[in-house]
Amino acid sequence: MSTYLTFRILKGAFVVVLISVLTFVIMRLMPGDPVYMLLGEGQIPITDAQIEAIRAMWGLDRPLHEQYIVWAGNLLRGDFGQSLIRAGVPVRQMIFEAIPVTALLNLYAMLLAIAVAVPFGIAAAVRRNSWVDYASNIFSALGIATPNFWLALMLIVVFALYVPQWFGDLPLVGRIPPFGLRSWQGWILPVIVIATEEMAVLMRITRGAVLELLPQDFVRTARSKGLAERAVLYRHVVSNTLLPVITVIGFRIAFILSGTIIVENVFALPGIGRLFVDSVLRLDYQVVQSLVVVFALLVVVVNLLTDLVYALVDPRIRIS
Amino acid sequence: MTMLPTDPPYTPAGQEAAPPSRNKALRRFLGNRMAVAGVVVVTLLLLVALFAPVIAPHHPNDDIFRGMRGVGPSLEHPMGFDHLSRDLLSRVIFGTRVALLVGLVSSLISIVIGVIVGAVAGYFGGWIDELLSLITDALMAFPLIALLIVLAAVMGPSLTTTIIVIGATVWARYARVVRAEVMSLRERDFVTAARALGAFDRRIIWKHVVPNVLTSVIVLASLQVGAVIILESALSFLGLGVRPPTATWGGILSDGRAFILRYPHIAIFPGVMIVITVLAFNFIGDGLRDALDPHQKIARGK
Repeated sequence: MSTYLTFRILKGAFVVVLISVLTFVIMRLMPGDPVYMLLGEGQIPITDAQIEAIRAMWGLDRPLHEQYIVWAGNLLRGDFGQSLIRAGVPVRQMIFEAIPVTALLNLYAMLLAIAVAVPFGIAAAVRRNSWVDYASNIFSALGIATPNFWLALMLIVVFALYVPQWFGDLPLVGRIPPFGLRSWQGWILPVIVIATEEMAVLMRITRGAVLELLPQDFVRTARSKGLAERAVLYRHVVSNTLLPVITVIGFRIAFILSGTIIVENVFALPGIGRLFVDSVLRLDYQVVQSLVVVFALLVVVVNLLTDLVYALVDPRIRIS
Repeated sequence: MTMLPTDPPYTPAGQEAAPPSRNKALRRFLGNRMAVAGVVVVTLLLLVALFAPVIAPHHPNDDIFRGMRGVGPSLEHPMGFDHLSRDLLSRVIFGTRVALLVGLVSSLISIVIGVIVGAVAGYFGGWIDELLSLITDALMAFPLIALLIVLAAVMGPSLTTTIIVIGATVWARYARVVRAEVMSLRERDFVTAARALGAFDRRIIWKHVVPNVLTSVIVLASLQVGAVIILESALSFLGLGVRPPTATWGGILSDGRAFILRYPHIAIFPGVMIVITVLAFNFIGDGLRDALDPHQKIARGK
């Protein structure tokens, strides 16, 4: 187990390093020069000497591998450098300010998705071909085929234009702001959008997992020893469904991050996704490459934890 | 942008039951009403894309109706006008071209890369497999849209960039499935026989291994086209995909977003088209999988 763990950690570290090197190189290949970007593309007259001075200040004049080593060394010491565009603001501060927004957004969305998807997925499997089953199948198919940014736009239209017209005097629904996080109601729409996609996937997974369990021997044994159907379900089926569901949630971290990136942009939320897209568009190398490393680290750590939880929850799994 | 990352452990078809005969598979596919509906819808979409200039009532970019800026749907203009007074129906019709082109060509690129990587890794094993698997795993673990955003920004957004960038990043799932199949095929008698006859590795891979994994690849591909179409529209939506004035569904959605509170109708129809198209491809994929791969070895893509 400990050799396996060491191996997994080393492999994860290698992946993070690989991704950081690739991003570093790719970002340097980008057309456009951050110095010009900063100075407003020729609007301010500057001399070549001044440009060189700015480059030297940021170390942009040194060879690529030296720049990488300096950056990676600082990174290991927890120093993410300074934003090139928002001059003087430490990247770490920008990222740390954005992380809670993204983390809470996804946490709320996952809780909502699990709370809805797991019971409905189980109900759909147990009452196969009933209306619950059809409804959950239709929901899954639609939820998976709907781009989250379009769902976001449609909710904005409904809640910003039509709901205030028709139900403006209702206490909660009348006051859902379409953009930003100025009040807690700002969370409602983004959480629903991210949860919808996860709900669709989880419902399908849960239904499939239960369908696979129902015909198995231990379920038949439980039934034949006279256990009530309800007890069979709760004690034997539901507990065994949790394992595949946990695994799917853990391994979906990369897709969840993908979803957040776009949804945060539509709803103008100050999270990591919005910071990422803004920084790419503004050629802010420092922020983009730090964020990519953060993404990679997050995915590697969550996948590792998922594996461990998997091994802990299911004693049958002996990792070799 | 979503797909299920966990492919179930693979067991080769031949070991549990004889692979279904072609006729049986076809009958099973035709018996699946949703899959047949999917085929009908995709055929219609292909026709719309091919004959867009004939079908579209107006030119998608050049026909500008003065004074009709942001006017909503009417009988003559069923989808209304956009923020530049262009006929939205015509733009949505032309958008079909980009969606299908990117969906199909990017998928083709990713199939080629994925099959090669997977076949080489599974066939040779050893350190080659370790290395290729590491790259595949890293790619699958990374948020795809972040990678696409960076690459599209670096290469400069355009139709070609979009196709290449998506094709070059979504191959990991193919590689994983093909690798697993090849590893089990490698030990089968007909491959050993070919090797004993002195065939070269390359010939064995192309003549004996690749044809045997095609079923899985076809099923996976049909499940992935929808995901690719969503990725394309997401990139165009963020302004990092196909450039305006070319009509794309993601691009129109991006216009719709900019004027969402003034001209809300702009954002409705391209989204409906995306949902219909992705649903159709997913139904075909589900149908193909149920028909060709009754043991459900391939996890559903989005």
